[in-house]
Amino acid sequence: MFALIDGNSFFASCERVFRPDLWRKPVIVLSNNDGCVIARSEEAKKAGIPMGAPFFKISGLVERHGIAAFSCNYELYADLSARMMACVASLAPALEVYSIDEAFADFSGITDASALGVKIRHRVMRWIGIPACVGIGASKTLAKFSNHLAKRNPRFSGVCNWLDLTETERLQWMRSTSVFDLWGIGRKLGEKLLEQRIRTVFDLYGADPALMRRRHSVTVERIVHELHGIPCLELEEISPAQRQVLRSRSFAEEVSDIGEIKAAVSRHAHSAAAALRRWNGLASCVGVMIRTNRFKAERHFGWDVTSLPAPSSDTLVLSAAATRLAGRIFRPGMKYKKAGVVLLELVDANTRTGDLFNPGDSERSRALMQTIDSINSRYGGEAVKSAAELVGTKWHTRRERLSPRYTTRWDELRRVDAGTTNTGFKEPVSPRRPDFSPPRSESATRA
Amino acid sequence: MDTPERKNALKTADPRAGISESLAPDENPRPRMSPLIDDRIRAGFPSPASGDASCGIDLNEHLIRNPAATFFLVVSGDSMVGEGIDDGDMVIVDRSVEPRSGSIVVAAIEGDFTLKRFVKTAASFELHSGNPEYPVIHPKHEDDHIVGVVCWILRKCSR
Repeated sequence: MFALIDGNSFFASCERVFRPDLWRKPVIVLSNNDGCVIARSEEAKKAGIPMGAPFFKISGLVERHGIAAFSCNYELYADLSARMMACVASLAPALEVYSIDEAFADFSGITDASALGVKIRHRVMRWIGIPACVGIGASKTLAKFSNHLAKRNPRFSGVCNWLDLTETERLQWMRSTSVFDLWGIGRKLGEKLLEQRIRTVFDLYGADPALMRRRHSVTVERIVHELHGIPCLELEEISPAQRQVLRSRSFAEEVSDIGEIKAAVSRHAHSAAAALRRWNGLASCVGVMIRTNRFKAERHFGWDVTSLPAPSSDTLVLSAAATRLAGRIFRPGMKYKKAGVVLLELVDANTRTGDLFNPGDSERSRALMQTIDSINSRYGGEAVKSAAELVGTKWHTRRERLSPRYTTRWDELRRVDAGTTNTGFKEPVSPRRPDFSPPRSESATRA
Repeated sequence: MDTPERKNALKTADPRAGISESLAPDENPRPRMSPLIDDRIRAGFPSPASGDASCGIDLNEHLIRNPAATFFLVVSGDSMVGEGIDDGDMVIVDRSVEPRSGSIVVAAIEGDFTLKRFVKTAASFELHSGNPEYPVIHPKHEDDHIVGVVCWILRKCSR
């Protein structure tokens, strides 16, 4: 049994954690250089903000609906993501971080899965302040599908357990959901399925798995099996997500030396960066996972994620960030079984708007990477590797609507007002410029 | 954290207490302090008890019980002076701690964070200031709630 836990409108929710004045208000987050909409709160979706819309095109809507628009603050999102995963890991026996805002958990052997789902959801809200949804099912596809239902239907109160639904309910949900909303069905594949009159999840559920394999691929056959509750994907199997690059491997023997762990993480970062460049992508965030044997009593699931100063595919930058994270999550004395690197929040290097103030990967670094890639492809594997960490380079991005990095910078901590009087409504204050207006009391003096 | 004090402390640590670990380059960036027990003052053979102190004291470990749920905030305003919290103090807030009557809490009230003393009532809760001139807050909005409990107050003494 699997569960999929994910943070609702994650980036928008992150922006709200320290801004209670924005609860129930429309919030959007913009891509690098304030280009396009990359996250929308439920209220912003209702206000008609389309995903991916260029900001200049929707500025009228933003004004009219009083929508709070933020520049993307990956440093804040990465920190809250790491906290959310640690929070889920405190309740779930085994975890696979699937993206910056979602994780699969192995729920096998758990007697009351729905109760555990509710507990996880409440704990993530309580500890981190992020609303999350939980989907539970016999396969990863069904867990993901249940999560989709939990997110869209208030009647589930954020937790949907496929195993608790009646047969009639299941068929009803499958009939009313488009096949495009299914995990693993991209636009191209969805259109091919449409040609064969497979429109809804139910149509695919009723399809012949062998026929699906012949006509499409083994992936589609697998989805059909998974819809019937036959798990085909293991917990840690790498899923064909296009929003990330993941490289992980088990150690031949358990490792408790930080040097060896860092070496492995650096190797993974090299290989992931090369894959990223093949796709002409740039990563905004890097995540590192290390874990011990999960069937032993003394276990540790270590996961942390960090943002990069600017999106990058530079091996040196990515590997430096990854090894730094490995050092942070490593616990002395633990015997680690597996290490992995994930490159997250990818953007296309071609469509990324060039900016005088934000050179991103410089021409020189790009040329160096091309050279490394061509040498490595000629002489095989890893003929050329980076020797040392690259000292952090400072970039300047256009981020006019950037919120403070509340959790990672001493000088950007959130202010909490001790002197609020309870006299009527107070205009919400921006955290960057806290309101120091004195309450109505003669004795109150302040700087 | 390779201050001269730290290097010194490592050199004088009990040789049996895992020197290879202590002398390794500082892989862990967490701030650490010198051990409580210093063998330099004890000429002759090292004390068997000092082995336990070789790892030093870790402020993070001391101040943060649950890292995932712990946040730092800065106080503005003086309504909590009576509770020992002054303007400009830093507070360490644990969101996973259940507030009890008398706890100092950060609450979200009418769309803003406020720092108050939590008092449980039969139906709900009230928020009191450390200064009687400030009115007691009764939560009215459905979104009003307790964010977390203040576990520590940090104040710099020499400015």
